[in-house]
Amino acid sequence: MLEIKIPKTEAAVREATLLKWHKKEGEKVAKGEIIAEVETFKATVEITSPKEGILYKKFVEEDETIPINTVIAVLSERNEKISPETIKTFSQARRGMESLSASEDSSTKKIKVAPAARKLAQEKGVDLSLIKGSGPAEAITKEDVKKYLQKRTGFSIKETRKLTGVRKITAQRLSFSYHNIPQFTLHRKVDITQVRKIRDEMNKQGGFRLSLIDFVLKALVYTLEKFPEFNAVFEEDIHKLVEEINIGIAIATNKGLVVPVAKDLKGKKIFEVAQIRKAITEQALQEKLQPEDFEGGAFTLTNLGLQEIEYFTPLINPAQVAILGIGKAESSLPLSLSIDHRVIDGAQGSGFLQFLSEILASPSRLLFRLIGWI
Amino acid sequence: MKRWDLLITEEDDPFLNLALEEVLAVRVGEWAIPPILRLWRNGDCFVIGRLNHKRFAKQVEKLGKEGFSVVERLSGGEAIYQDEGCLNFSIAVSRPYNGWEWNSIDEPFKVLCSGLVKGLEKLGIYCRHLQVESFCPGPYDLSIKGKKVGGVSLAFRSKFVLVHGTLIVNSDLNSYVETLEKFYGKIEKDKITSLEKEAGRKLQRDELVKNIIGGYTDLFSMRFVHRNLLDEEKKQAKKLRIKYQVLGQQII
Repeated sequence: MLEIKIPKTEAAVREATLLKWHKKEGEKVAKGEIIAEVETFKATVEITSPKEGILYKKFVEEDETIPINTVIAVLSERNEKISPETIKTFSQARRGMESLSASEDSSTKKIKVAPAARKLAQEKGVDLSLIKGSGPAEAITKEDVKKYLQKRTGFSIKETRKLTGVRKITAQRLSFSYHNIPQFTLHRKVDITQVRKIRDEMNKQGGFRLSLIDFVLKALVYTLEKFPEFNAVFEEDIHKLVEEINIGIAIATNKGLVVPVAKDLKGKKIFEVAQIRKAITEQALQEKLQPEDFEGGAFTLTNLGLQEIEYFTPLINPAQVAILGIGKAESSLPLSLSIDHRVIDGAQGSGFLQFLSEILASPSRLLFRLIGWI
Repeated sequence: MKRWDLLITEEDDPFLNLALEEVLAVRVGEWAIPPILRLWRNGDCFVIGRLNHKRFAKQVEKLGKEGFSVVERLSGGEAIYQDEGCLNFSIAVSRPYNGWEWNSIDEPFKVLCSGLVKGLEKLGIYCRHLQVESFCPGPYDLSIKGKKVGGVSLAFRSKFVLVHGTLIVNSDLNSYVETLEKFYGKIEKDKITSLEKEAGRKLQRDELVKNIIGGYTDLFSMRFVHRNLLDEEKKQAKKLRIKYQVLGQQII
């Protein structure tokens, strides 16, 4: 016995529609002969027989939408007997546990579906064969699909929230990042005892108050100068190293996550870096950022420390190639560096984190740099 | 170096054009002709995926009342609108061809469109495959900065693989979207763009065609031989024309 299946795909497509059967049950099928035609994500695909045989049983009707990899039919080889129990197993497997009590007749009945119901079912990944229609001629209505979904999930939807504005853009960009960038994250803890002391001393002198993140930003600028492959974008298979040091800073606002860019940080003293950081943060919180404030970033810094998180997996902001997450600062600061593996390997990532950690952990080196920067 | 046929056809009958897609692809699959790259245009029409006019019967009926031609294509998917500002492309290769094994139905999309993507890159236009939720969505949509600039669909047959699609070159995007909405209802205009808009300049058809051809020859070990449609191919397409007519002008 040979199982005829809907072919798998690489794309995130779960279903296919059986467009047409080219063979009837009981009909002889030669090797390579077309058995059926299906449609999935804009592809019509002919399903051919891998061997000579007889189309013993079909499990799917024309126009039915079914999950990828479903067995749509079985072929019997010459003189082969297939037991009714085996056939029943396939029918039941396809229809799921809910249909165990369904009669065999109903399994071969053509399903009538209202277009709105089909659309909803496709969106929610519902197998329509599991639903009993309440419409004219037992057609499945949108209401039937909704009821089924409620039953399947065990809860009813209180409220639906359509993604709009910043949330929608964030969803699109992060989905793209997650699905298209092969990224991995390296974690490292860095001792910041000395940095904190220096910050406290500097803040005691009055004037502009520095935050720990300003020290991280300044150390990051220096590290990006030493590791230019991280200050880059990857577009159209080309790794483009960027001249300027422009760092996007992820900021949580009432409207969602925004990532304005702190620009031209190369050569800036720490107070200048801090002023830029403070200005864009305030503009973000007051929702005063302009479209150009989001442009030009070649690296991103994100901070979940205020939310008491230590390590996490930041997602790269496309088409950048890396993002640094900082966690809750105590005597040490947890760092999480996500990297686009297409252009940067683990060893380079470790080197980047080590260098950054050394700057932040080594007071003498930091002071030396700070003296030059202040 | 393998020979491919290059056809730049000027037929403006959408039904005949879609019938030609089958005729040419079948001939490629029968090894009667080498693989083909065809670049072509249609008049104003909607082109809908195979057998999908049944699923979208109401929308098709509405288009018919407004006088639009609705044509079926051999490949899958929902409806796409084509006007004078669009350029269609078709690539058909036999199965098997030159050691090419398709391990999934995703591969032909990626491989057979790669020359087109490369050709556009030569013009400074960087498009990629990304599903855009606007019209006729699919994971291998051609997009620029998240906006749809073209659609691609596939007919994966036992003897051949046909990847074909439509690029929006210089259509008036306002009227293009307005027309699409006759089928889809409200569509977000800012999710659709054109090659000229993204290039920021006029694109001559010859320049576009030349670079697309260049994209393929850069990537594949092949040489194109430019030829016209054969009488035999036109004759076969005329016979098949009715098969692709969902709605529209009477058959001549």
